[in-house]
Amino acid sequence: MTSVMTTLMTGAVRNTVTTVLTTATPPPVAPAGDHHSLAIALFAVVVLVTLGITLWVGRQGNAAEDFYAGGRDFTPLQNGFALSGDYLSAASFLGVAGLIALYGYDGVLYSIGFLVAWLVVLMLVAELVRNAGRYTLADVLALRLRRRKVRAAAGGASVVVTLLYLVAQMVGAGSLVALLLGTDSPHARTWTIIAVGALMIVYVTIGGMRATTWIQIIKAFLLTAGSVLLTVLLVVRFHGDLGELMRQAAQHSGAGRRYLEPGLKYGHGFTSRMDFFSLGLALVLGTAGLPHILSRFYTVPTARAARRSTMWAIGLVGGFYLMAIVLGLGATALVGSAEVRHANPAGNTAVPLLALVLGGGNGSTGGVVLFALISAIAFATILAVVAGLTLASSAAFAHDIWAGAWRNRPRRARAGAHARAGARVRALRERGRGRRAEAVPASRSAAGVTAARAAEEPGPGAGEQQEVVVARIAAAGIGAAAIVISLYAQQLNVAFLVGLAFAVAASANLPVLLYSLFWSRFTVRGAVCSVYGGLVPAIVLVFFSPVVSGSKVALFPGVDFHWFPLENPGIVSIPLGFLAGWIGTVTSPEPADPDRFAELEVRALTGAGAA
Amino acid sequence: MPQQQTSSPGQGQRFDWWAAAAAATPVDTPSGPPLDTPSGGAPLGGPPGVPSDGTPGVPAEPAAAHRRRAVPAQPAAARPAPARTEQPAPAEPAAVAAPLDRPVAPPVRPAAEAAAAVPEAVDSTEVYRAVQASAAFQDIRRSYRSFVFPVTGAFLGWYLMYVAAQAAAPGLMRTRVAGPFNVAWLLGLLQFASTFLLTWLYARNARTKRDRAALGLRWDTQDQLR
Repeated sequence: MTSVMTTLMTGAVRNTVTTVLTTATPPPVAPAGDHHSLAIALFAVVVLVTLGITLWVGRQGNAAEDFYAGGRDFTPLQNGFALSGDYLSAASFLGVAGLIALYGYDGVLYSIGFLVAWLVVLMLVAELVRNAGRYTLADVLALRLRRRKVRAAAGGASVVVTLLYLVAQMVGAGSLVALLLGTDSPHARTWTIIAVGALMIVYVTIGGMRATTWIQIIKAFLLTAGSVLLTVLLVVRFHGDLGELMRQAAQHSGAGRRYLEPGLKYGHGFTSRMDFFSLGLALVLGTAGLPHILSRFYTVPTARAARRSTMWAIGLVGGFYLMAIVLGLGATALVGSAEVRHANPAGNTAVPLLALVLGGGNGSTGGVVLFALISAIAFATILAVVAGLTLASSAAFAHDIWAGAWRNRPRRARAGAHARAGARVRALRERGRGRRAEAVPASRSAAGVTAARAAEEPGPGAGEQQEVVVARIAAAGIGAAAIVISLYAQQLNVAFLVGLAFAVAASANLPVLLYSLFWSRFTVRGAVCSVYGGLVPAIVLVFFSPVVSGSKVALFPGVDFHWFPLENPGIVSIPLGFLAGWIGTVTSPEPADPDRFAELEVRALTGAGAA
Repeated sequence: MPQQQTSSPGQGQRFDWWAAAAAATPVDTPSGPPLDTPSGGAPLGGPPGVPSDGTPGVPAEPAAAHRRRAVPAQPAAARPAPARTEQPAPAEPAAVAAPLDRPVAPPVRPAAEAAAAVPEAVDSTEVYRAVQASAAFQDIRRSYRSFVFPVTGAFLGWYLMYVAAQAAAPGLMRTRVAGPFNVAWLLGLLQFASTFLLTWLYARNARTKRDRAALGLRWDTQDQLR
């Protein structure tokens, strides 16, 4: 039964894709040959396997804990793979290797920020967030700053970050899949974006966090296995002599010795250097504020497991980037920078082209198989990352904005009548601290830890079920919005969006998170100022930067209203986020609540009462 | 959650922890457990509705016994928690410090004396404040912060210096080290090495200095909160 269905569906998918292909123009960029049909078949396998997982896993539970946190029963190893799967987007897999193939050392320089960032996650964030929160970043803040506006601000910033990241990934996916399938027609790109968007909506709405995590695990495993395979083949080809590899790469790069020195990409003048510094700062600080990374820590049972999964992720990400360096050098040495740039100006096809050469060249069976394998891995990467982003985005919307801030808004008329309703303790507290003495002690002392949480969170059961329904709807809505934006933006150069997403995460999410976790005097006003004080400058500065207007590759090439010289706002907006949080706190009319900080600190460091 | 309780303890009067827990039980049971689903593997100290035998008149001893029974429900990792640190928390008033003693010798608390000590009820806030002030917690916090803050400053500085050095000292970066390797590559690879090294050091620090104490304090705190 299943196999019949599989055959049918494979046939159907293959037919559709071939139709798209045959109507499209012949591949103009990649080397000629029919090495794409096997890739298409493998794409279909990836789609079927992931859909199968989603349907299978999606039946395991429908509670909020299942949808947002995958039931919290993943092992550190599994979650480590899933973390690296979430982190290593197609932009990393193909993009970093491509950058190294084109610009040599400057590509290496770019990749290092992505790795060092994990130390911030490991040391300052992972365990504490796991202990103090339930599903999202805003949960951690809300434990201490129980105001709807804090939740709304943090949830809103999370949605902005994930949406920026999502659009960047989907536009990239459109051109990438078209490239891997050997077509450059706008139709193929449009349909790819729609198909990827539809798939991610299916994964998230049906499978929730559990399915997303399994897809990430499989993808990360494939990615690691594929990279190891190519690296081994490459190193064997060079008889283990990496110095020779570097020499040959420099020789075939067209830049000679300068290929192995800094400055090929980021060295043109002071502005370019400042821009790279800004990007580096955003990368190293932004990772710890990415909502889809933070929500991964809730899929393991304890803080210790969160730490160990981060360690696995650091090992996998670090190993991956080391291999990406070797592969990038290999692509230059064996394929040549000119050929790589000819196939795709951003170098995105460097690794697949290298696979073709390593397998025995175009036309050979080995080359075709290896090319198809690497392409399918890249495709799986795209699917997994967009699914993770959609899930994080829908969680921020449903759990923070809808349930935390909107549904729990004070309804004075109802507060007395519905004494048992889940939200009323919160509503009472919202009216003023004077009434806390009545509202808090009874509920808290009676049920201890859980009551404190109940006061913050809406009641379980019906409320959470409703919230999950909203989250599923939000996933579909956010996915649809991302598809529409990506379709509109697919002709635009959106490469800066990933850097921008990291910059927003570093300026809006990280300061408020660190202040909440470590600063006893931090207040509600400080939190709100910190989020908006990082988010607004980041967006405004980008709007007035050369990526939006005033240059040939800008979003609006015709006009020029830019006055901010850098493409990445991080160097200004990150300090502003921290500064705004500090100013908001010291000017706050109400002092910080030491009781709340005590609760957060004890829970974060010991894990008492952790979800 | 047990909202009816809001009115039962008189304002400004000592709130009886055990009586409230017991009285709250019937209200608690339907809504309590889903908050800390046992399936999640998250070892909460047990659902709040559990101590159903703790009727107001019951002496403290059975309640303590019950708490002991609840502990095995926690995962095996919890078992070797040795540091059942009974910190008297000297800085706190006696009534606040009392919760910390409970796991060993549950005191029969005279309501009148307690009412005189603190106007507000002993609730989770008091427990958290007491734990925060305890020497065991201060140790954990000190060992965490004294490792993490300097190290974070160091690796962020080292990374930003590395990035800035590309622009600031291009000549130095181009200096050959061995074969095609130059200083820039060497520093880049050292970034990888330092990241792996710091990951290992942090994990070792957490494992040897904090994990056991934190786990012990976790069960202690949850015991008191129940």
